[in-house]
Amino acid sequence: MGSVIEIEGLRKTYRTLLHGPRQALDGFDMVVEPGQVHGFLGPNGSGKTTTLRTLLGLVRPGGGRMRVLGQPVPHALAAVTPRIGAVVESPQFFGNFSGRRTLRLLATTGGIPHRRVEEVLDIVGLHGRANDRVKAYSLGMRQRLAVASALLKSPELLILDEPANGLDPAGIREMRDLMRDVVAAGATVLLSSHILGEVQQICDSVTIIAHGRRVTAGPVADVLASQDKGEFRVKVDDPARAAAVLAEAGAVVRPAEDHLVVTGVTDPAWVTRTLAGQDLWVAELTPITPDLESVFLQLTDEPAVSA
Amino acid sequence: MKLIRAELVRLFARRFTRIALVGVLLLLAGIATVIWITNHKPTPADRLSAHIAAEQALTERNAAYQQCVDAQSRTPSPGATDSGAKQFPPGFDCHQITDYPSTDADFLPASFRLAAAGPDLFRALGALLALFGFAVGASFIGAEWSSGGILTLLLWRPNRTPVWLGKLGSLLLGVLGVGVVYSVLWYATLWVLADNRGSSALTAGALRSLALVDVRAITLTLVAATVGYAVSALGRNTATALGAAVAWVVIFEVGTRIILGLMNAARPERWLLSSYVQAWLTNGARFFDESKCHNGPDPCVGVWWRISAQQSALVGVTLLVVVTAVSLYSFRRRDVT
Repeated sequence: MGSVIEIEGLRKTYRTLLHGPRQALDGFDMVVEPGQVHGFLGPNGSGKTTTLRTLLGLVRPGGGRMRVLGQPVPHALAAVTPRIGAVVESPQFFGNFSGRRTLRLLATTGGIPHRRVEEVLDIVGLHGRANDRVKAYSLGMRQRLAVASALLKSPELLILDEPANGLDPAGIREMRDLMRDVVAAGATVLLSSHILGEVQQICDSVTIIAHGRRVTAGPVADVLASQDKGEFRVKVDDPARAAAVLAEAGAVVRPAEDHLVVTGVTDPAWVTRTLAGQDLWVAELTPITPDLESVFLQLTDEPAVSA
Repeated sequence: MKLIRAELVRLFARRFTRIALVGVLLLLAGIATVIWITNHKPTPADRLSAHIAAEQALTERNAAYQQCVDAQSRTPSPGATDSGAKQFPPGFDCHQITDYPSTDADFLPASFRLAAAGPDLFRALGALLALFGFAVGASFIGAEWSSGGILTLLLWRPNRTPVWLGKLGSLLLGVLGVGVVYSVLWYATLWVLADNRGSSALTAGALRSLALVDVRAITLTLVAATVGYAVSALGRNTATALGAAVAWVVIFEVGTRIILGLMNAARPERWLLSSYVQAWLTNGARFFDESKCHNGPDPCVGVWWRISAQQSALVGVTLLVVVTAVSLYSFRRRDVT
């Protein structure tokens, strides 16, 4: 089976009379493989939302090539849209309609039986408030309604832009479970999020975008490994002497508050052996692996928005 | 069809539509109430006294005519006081007195005659429905843009032209339905009023004429709904259409009228959309061109001129085509950001 999303050299420039041209995407590439949760990360204004909107036909691309579920878009968008569920940015619905009526109208538009409305209301946990007006919903409930609307089609590809916005911790966990269920059912999820810890927990692969270009992509473990500098955290009784011993043996050592950071070592046993040879006994030896947040900050050179 | 069905449900589920429907209904009820209160069906006693009054008026008019003829045939002597000569100066056309003879009807208490008042009341219905159509049309897509409903719809239906046309189609179907239902209700109301407060008698020709007025009224409503929808879609919010309507009235209807008046321009009404609306509703309208008039002792020699229903239709269709084409083009091309 081919890739679910393939983007090559996508370009988009917004032109306004007041501010002139602004390049949002500058030859962006992305590949999303089937049956995965793929994280899509980038700082504010990096081009994430433009990419998603271009994929969904809401924004006209200035150049490049896109295929979704094997079909070229936007040319064949009408053919693939019934197979895509999407929540783009903050979910917006007509406030005076109830959640149930909102979903029923969408179901009618898409020729989906109304029993599916009840199913998705159950899935997102909105059944108890389905007859309330949307304007009485909290942000989190609107988010659930948006996800419900995306699930109505039983999509093969679910695109979620910041789905955890406004959700409480329990809601975030439910959303995570929901995405896992969707993938377990054979679909693919493209998840755009600022909550890097969440992405690291749930995503199989990621693409990171900055200034309209891809800065890295691949399985989460590979992306993290690519930034792994082989650092170890070493605690000993006499850090000053230990640092001198290790440096003399060829390691790069950086003293920290109550430990040493040792770099340029491939085998941690070497550290133990070297220090033990000088009657220095290691109390703690831990590899320092980068997390997604540090990788993100390093690659995008921008502060991430915390959850 | 699925889209049209869903959008029709959406149209009538919207609170604004419901409030507007009730508003039009209340205004029509107000008009009907005023008609009910101010009109009475003449009793036999009313008819008798009206007949007597008409006879008396006829006698007085004949006497006045004779007095006028006498006054015109005499040459007044200088210094003489002749009341007839004072009342009817030399050259007065005495036939003016008998041109419009009084009838019994002139002396009856006000009564509501469907044949006479029906057309104007159906034009009033048309004006109300046109306002309804414009506002509901504007709000139908404007509020959807503001609330994000259009974005959601485009995620389901990415081909924008069918979405734009489908929403417009459902709007027009809905407005047409409202127009037909309200027309039937209005006719029934007027018939009941006429039957109780005057005369409901209608010849086949009068009925056909009334039906034609109603067709024009409903057509105007559909045009207004389309223009409201198209302008609102262009600006992506309801306020654009409402603002455009207010600006149109202030700049083109009031401002242009004042400027053209100051310039003493010929046939100023031809530049005003309201003239064409009037001509459409009345199957042609006559206007007096005062540009030829001037201050002086001579009487004004202005001319009457006319806007036909066909000219009015041409203006309406042109406006409709331009506004909808620009709106649809913009809907198809602009990014949803």
